[in-house]
Amino acid sequence: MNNPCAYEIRVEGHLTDQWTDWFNGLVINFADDGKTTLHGTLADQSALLGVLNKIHALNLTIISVKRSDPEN
Amino acid sequence: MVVSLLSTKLYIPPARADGVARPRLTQKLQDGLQQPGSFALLSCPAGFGKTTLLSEYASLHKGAVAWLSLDERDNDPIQFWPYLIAACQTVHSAVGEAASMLFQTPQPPPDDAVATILINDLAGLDHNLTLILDDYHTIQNEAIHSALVFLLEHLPEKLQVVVSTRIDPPWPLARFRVRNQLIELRAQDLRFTASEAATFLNRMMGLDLTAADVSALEARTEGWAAGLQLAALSMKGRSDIAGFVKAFTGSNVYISEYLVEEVLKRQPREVQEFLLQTSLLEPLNAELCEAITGCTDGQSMLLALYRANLFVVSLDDECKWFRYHHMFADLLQSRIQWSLPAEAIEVIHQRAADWYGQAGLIPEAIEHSLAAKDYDRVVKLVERIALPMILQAHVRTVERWLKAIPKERVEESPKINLAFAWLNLLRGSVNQISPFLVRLKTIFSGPGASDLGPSLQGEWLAVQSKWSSLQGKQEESRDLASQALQILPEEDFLVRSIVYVNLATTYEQMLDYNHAAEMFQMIVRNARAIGDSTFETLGISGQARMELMQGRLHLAFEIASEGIKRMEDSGKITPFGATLYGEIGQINYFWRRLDEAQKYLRQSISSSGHSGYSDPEIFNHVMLSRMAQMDDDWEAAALEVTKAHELAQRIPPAMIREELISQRVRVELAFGRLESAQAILQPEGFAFTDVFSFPDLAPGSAVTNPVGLLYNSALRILLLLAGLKKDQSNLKRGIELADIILSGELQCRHIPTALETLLLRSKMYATMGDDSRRLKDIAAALELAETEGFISVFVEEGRPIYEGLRAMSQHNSLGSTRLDYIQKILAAFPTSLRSTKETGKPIMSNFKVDKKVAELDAPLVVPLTHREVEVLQLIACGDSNQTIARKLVITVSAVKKHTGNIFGKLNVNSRTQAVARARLLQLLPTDR
Repeated sequence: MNNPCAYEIRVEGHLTDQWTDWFNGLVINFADDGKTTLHGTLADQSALLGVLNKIHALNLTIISVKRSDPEN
Repeated sequence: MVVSLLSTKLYIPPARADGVARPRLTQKLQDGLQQPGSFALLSCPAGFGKTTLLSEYASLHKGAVAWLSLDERDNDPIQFWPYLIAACQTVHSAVGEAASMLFQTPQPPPDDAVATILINDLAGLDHNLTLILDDYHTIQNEAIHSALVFLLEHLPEKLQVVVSTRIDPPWPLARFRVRNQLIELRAQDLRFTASEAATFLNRMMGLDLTAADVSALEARTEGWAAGLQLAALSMKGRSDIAGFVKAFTGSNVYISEYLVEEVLKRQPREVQEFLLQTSLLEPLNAELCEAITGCTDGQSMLLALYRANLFVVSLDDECKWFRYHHMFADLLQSRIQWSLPAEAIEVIHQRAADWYGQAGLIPEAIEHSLAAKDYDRVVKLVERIALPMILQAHVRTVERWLKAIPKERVEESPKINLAFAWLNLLRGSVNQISPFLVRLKTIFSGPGASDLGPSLQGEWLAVQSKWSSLQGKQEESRDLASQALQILPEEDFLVRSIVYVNLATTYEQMLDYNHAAEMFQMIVRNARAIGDSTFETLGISGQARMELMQGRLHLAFEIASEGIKRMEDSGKITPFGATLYGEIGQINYFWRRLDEAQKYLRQSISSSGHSGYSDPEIFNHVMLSRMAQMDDDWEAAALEVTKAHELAQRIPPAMIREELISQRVRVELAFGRLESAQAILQPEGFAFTDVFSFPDLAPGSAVTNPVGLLYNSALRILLLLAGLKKDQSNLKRGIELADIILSGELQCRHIPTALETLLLRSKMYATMGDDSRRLKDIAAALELAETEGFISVFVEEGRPIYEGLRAMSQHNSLGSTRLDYIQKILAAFPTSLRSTKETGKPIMSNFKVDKKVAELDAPLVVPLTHREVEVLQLIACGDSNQTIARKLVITVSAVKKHTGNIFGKLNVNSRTQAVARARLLQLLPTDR
């Protein structure tokens, strides 16, 4: 739980990739269904919570948070 | 140097005259908060208008309002509580006064205590106070959370608390909900209704939208105030409003990004730049903005933004300080990162650091220098304020700064290494200190060392001295400190004060009280030079303590009284003032001026202002217990010592642990609860099994005050044991031990404890029947005690000493002691003792003499078994032998046998007597 892991966070709305730096370097993809995916590696759970807090601070609606298997 | 608090955090943001009134919400708050014990929580994301609603509530509210805007830096009890107290003080200046002073000393008070102090202070308020904590989500610290939960669970009647946050705090909210204590406003509540949105857009923002447009915008923004505001700003002055609404509501783009883009696009270029550049600052004022942006009309710019509703929040009534709405600042900051190169952003931080530095706001200057990566300046500024900040307990902040400085710069700065060393020394983390000591050694023994100047050289010696003392090398520490004092320039008050305090402690540990007293005197002198009343009272109370410990009551009284007078004249009551009052109280107790003693002990408590140190209060209860016991009021004695013990378990005392242990043992013994008394001393290393064992004490070693108190308590237990069991072997060991203790106490002139030991030994000789030694010890005690007028210490030891003194006064075997002194002591014994008819029996039979008076209270020689207690309990309920037998499933003859044993052990003849005596000795479970 305290090792770097790949995460995928989906939020409501279209976010441009200019926000990448703001979200600790997560890659930002906009899907056709009007939702945005942020994905990338985060150092640990604290970093994850930091990103979630930032998303919350911008009043973005979080739809899901997934951790990818570290092996893959 | 006192690092001041930024007062803009305490301003109540004025409500905008043109704002949307939200009576449905303010009314809900007001009604809910009228219920005693309830508090309000506003929990929803940024931009829903929490702060705006609260400022509206504050402006409507009839009572006093204290406001605290929290930020990330407050996530530390040392930062949080002073601000919270300061917020309360904007309304009631006396709240938490002494407590806030405590935060200016390096040792922070225990966390739990702070909430207790505030509750006590606020409970005493005459008027209602509403405390608003804005942006509580910035707090993650466990200690703060738990203290606040404690506060909310014990809300004083006059206090209303309102907390706003973006994230639910980790409090037991479900429990508060069930108890109906929680008034909650969440996103659903704060969301603008269609009619509120219409008022907002059309009236406040001056638009003229159709109902359909309003409801489309309301739907797209989901009633989110910030979104509506951004939308309104984007529409202002636009001719094709319907087109904008259609494009915006049809778009999937993240609202804020879409709208901020639109809003910025519509601003003139210089406004855009102003917004972006100043978004890095909080709080803002005109001068600061001008320094950052180079513009010359900062104030009119800010006012224009404020009037245009561009997310500028006014922080005061004079429109001097502002800040951006947090989310807007975030959006601007994210934008500046992708629109400006990193160097340009650093330049902005540089300019901010310049301005703060010139304004004397050094911590803010350091933060911006760090952001600008201007480490030259960081080093320069941190060198300047690290030590005073550490001494004011801003340890974590200083540590963060020090750790942000690149390694190579740390290596070349002696002052930064010294700061690291102090940081670790003063908080006692000795494991982390060695790399800095190694480096400092290299620096100060290197070729350039002689150029470093006396101030640095002296500070380095001071560090080494403190380090030696932490390692227990007292002589080395003392020598280094003396060298440091020789070198250090007179005006280096701060470092000199640290050295003096350290030296005083070292001398005290070396039992060199005269030199310690001298150092305390230097602390006083130094403190007076810089007008530091905290250090001054610390010094004076230290001086008095040195004299008091050695039994120089008159001198100690004089010093402490003078200190109190100075302190009261100056009007600044410091935390150490409580120590001074406590010392005077204790001296009066020794003189048996009990009213005076009680008066000063009370003053000690009130001047500690529930400051978080439990010592004054615990000490007061201990002394009240001793006074009651001296007067044979055992019930009161037990009550007071229990209070002291309970308090000590919640907030451990700093200095008077052994005083409490000593009194607990006395009370237990007075009630005959021998086993509990033994249990109290067991963790201290005393065992009273077949062979009495105690922590090693080599003959000839010094016995300090706390150690003396513990050994004397052990002697007390031995004395009672020997009297009960008529077993003299332990008694002999006790006398041997008393000899060792006494010589140790006399060696370091601990007269008060030495007197106690002498009198206890006298009582032991009495039990053994050795009359001449018994009287000899009393005579020795009198001789030691007479000049300073000790009285209570004799009275506390009760009948054997009373009779000894009587015998001496009657047979004129006074030695050098004056008769009127003895008569004064005799007159101080309780009347019950004095009126008992003189038996004339030999002293040997002391215990028999006592028996008539104390028979019922005498402890059990053989304790009751578990079964016997069960039987006794049923007897107490009035059950017959048959009923008892049935209930316990045993035979009637077994019940009779138990009853017989119980009578024997309790030394009684009837069931009624047995129950009465058991109650007195608290042997029945229901009595405990």
